[in-house]
Amino acid sequence: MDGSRLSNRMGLRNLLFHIFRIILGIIFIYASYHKIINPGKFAKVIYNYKIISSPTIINFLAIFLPWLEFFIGIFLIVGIFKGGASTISTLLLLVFIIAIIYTMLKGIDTNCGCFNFKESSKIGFSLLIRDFLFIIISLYVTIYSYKMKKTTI
Amino acid sequence: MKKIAKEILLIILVTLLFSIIFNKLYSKGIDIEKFNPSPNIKKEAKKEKIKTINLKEAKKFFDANAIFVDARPPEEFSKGRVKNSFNIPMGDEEKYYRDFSEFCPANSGIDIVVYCDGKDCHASLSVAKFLKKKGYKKVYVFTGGWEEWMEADYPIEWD
Repeated sequence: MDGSRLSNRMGLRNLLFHIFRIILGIIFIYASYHKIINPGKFAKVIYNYKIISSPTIINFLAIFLPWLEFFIGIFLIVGIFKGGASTISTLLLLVFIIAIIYTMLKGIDTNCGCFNFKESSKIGFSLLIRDFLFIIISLYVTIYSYKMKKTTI
Repeated sequence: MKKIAKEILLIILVTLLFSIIFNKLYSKGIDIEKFNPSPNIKKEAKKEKIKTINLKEAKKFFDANAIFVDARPPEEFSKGRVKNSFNIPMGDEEKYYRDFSEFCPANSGIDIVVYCDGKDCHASLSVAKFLKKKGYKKVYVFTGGWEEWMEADYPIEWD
């Protein structure tokens, strides 16, 4: 492979990385908005998943998680702490996927509370596929961030 | 790797600080210790078009030979339950439903009363929703649940 083709490929990967991190950032900020302004409603959504029974833990997560999503989004868009932010986003998405699969297997009928609290956002396969897509994007950003860190050291 | 671990820690700390301060200052903020995250059963049941009943009505259904479904975990069910009730624990509906449907098929038209612990539990509504989905038409949620039934000294049994 000659030098120009290699640099073109590197350039394309770099471009993809920046596009993906900005898309991911927007998704996370958008997802956090309704939860931040309605912590009580979000606590009820977490309760409905039937994974955690302690009200204190549920309430804490209802306050903490939306802001975590918000800051992940901000850091990804601004481009600082990219490695840390994308690692957390990948782990968060993994937790969401596990929660969705668990809820589906248990036959629990609840709305996901991902972007809003509407009844139409029920848990199902379409949601699972969407989260798989998000995690692929997130993984790409995470791996690329790790590679960048390695090359800069 | 170390740098990324530091970044993760920093993000978590910033988030923790910010979320707690915001929650304290925000008018819709919730009390971590006191806020009850379990949804309002009556309101939610109404949304699902499932009727909720009180103790008196539940007893009437019992006397009229309605079928009682206990939505609590099997361990609690075996310790004590409404007499002649069936166990369909929330989270394991499909598994327990097989036996139940043999005894009481969806087209039987019989009244079904679902209950769980008491006023704060959500399992009864969850199981009632499941039964509605399976085609049962007359499903009711007894909101007072096991606690009220037991306190009223109404017929019970245990293993």
